[in-house]
Amino acid sequence: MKDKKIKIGIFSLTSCEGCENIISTKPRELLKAIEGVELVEYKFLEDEPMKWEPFDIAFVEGSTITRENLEVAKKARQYAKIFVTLGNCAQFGGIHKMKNYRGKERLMAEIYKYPETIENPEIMDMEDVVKVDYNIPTCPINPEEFLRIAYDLINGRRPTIAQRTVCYECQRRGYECLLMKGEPCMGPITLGGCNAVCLKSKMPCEACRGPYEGANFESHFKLIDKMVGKVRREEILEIFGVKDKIIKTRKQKNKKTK
Amino acid sequence: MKIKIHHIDKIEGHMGFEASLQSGNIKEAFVDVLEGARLIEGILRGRPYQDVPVINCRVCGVCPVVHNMSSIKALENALGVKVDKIVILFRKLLMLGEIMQSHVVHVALLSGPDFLGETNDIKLIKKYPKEAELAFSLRDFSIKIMEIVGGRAIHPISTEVGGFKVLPDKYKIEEILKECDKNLKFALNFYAFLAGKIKLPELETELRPVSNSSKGEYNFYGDDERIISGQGLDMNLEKFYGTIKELQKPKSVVKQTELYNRHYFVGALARMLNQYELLNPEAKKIFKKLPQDKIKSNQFYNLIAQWIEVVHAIEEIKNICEKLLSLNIPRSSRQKIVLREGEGIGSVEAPRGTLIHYYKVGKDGRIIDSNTITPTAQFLNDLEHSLKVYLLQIKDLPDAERALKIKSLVRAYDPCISCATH
Repeated sequence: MKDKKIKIGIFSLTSCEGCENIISTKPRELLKAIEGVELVEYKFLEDEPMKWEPFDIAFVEGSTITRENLEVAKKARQYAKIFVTLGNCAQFGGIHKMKNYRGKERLMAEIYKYPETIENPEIMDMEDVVKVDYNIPTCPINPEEFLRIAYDLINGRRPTIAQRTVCYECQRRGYECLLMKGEPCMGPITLGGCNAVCLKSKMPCEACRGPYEGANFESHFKLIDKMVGKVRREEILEIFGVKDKIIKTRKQKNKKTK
Repeated sequence: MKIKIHHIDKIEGHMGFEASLQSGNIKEAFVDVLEGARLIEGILRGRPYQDVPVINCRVCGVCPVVHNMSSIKALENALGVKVDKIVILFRKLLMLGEIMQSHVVHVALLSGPDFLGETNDIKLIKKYPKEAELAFSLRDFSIKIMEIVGGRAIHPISTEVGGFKVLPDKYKIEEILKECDKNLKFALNFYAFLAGKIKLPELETELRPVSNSSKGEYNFYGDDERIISGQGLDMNLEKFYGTIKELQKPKSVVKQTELYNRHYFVGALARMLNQYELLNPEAKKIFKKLPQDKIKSNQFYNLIAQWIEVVHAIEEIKNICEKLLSLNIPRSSRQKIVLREGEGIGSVEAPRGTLIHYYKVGKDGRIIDSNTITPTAQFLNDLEHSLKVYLLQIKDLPDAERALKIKSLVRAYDPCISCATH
C-alpha cells in the first residue's frame, strides 16, 4: 500500500488560466513536489486525454459556465478523494461573477448577435456546485501557497491557512496605510496569506481572498460607506465575487451570536 | 470523411477542431471554441474607469500586462491624458517582460515540444534537462522584471491611467541590467538547440501580416498608433478599428475578424515580416539566416519568430535599463485625472499580435461602451484557412499522426482562447 503512487489532476474550467500558468512559474519546485506523484491531468503540460477513474487530489481552476465545465467539476468531485479549488474564479466565481449583478441576459444581447445560442448560466461559488474540501484563494494564486498546500496534501497532512487579515500582514511589513489616506481598502476584512502584495504597490485590497471570518464587517463597512458610499463599497466587493460570501458569513456570525 | 479533435490541449483556453472531406477535397474546416462567455466587455459598462485595467488584465493569465496596457492607453486617449517619457519606458520594460514570459512558455512548453517528438513536458524536461534549465532561467528573468515593475508576475498591480502608483528603485533596475548579458547567452544557446533539433513542416499559404508600426523601433507599445501590413496597408489605428469587421457565427463565442472581407495574420511572425529591419543586432542575425522565401508563407515559422523576439526583447531590456539609469526615477508617477466625456482606442502588440481596446467614458468617469479585439479573434480566420491548406497535404496520414499534425499547426499560431472569448 505504502508505495502506491498519489494521483493528482489539475483541471481548468472557464477562467484566464493564470493560476495554471502560475503553477508552472516554479518549475523546479513543482517537479520536486510531484516527484513520485502521477499527474493524471494537466493540460498545460501534456496532451493525453483524461481517463476518468478514481484518483487522489483534484485541483480545479475556473468557474462553471459551459455545460462541459459543469461536467468536469462534477466528475472531478466524483472521482477524486480531495477536491481543491484553485484561485478566485473557482472559489467565488471570479471577475465574471459580476455579470450576475448586471443583468446577464441584457449583457449577452448587447455583445453578441446570436445571444440565445450561447450558454449564460448564473455564476456560482464552487462550494454551491460541489462539495469542496479546501480552497487555495487569491486572484491569481500565489505559487508558494499552492506548493505548501499541495505538499501537505500529497503527504497526507491537513493544510491550513493562518487566520489573520491582509491588514495585519500589511502593517507587519510597514506599508503605507491606504485606509488612513481615504482609500477604500478591504484589508481589515480580508483573509491574509497574500503578504499584502497589492498594498506593496499601493493598490487598495479588493478582497480577492475572501472574507476573514473574525472581521468586524459592520464597523469597517460603516467607515468605507462614509468614504465612498454604499454603492461603491458593493461595487468593489463584486469585482472578485466575494459580496455573496460576505453576506453568508455575516448571517452565520449573527446566528452564532444570537 | 470527418475529422474531429474534441479538445486541443496545450493551448491557452479550450478549443476543438472539425473538418469534413469529400472526394479528396476539403468541404469545411473550422475551430470549435469551447470557452464559456465571461462577458467582460459587458461587466465593465457602468463601472468607474479606474476598475477597467484591473478587471481587464484578467481576460488572460498568460498575457495580462498587454490587456492592462492597451486598456490604459485607450482610457488615456478617451480622457485626454498625456504621460511622461519615463512612464512609457517603464511600460515598455514591463511589456517586454511579458512578451518574453509568454514566448518562452509557448516555445519551450506548449508548441515547441510538437517538433521535438514528445508532447508530455514532464518527460521532455527529463530528456533535455540542460535546455529545460535554460528556458526556466529565461522565464525566471522575465518574471523578475514583471515583479519589479508591475508588482507581481501575473496581473499587474502598480500600473494605472496616467502612470504608476509606485516606481521601482534604481538598484532594482541595476539588478535587471546585470542579468541581461547572461540571459542573452541563454536565449542564444536555446536557439542553437532549437535550430539544430527542429525541422518545421512545409506549408504554403497566403499570409497577410498585420501589426502596429513605429518609426525607428521594433514596436510592441504601439507608440505611433498606426497599423501596417506587408502588403502596403498603412493606416492610423482609428481607421483600422473602423475598417476591420467583427463577425459572430451562431453558437460561436468568438467574433472572428476580417479585413476587407479577407483573413489576415497577426503575431510574432507578422511583426517580424513587417519590421525585421528594426530588430536588435543579435535578433537580426538569426532572422537573416532564416529561409526568407519560406517564412513569408509558412505560419509554422511563428514559433521561430517568437524566439527571435525573446532575443530581441533581452537586448531591448538592456537598452531600456541603461536609459532609465541615466534618468531621475521618481518614487511614483501619478496624475490627477480630470474627468471628461470621450472615446478612445488603445492598441499594443500582445505576444500573440495586435490587441485593441475601445472605451466610451461618460462625464462621471464611468464606462458607457467598451470593446476588445484580441489577436486570436483576428487570426482565427487565417488559422482556419491554413488548416485547410495543410489538411490537403496530410489527409492520407494515419489518424493519430494526422491529429498531431493538425494540433501542431494550431499550437504554432499560439491561440489564446481565454483572450478571444473574454
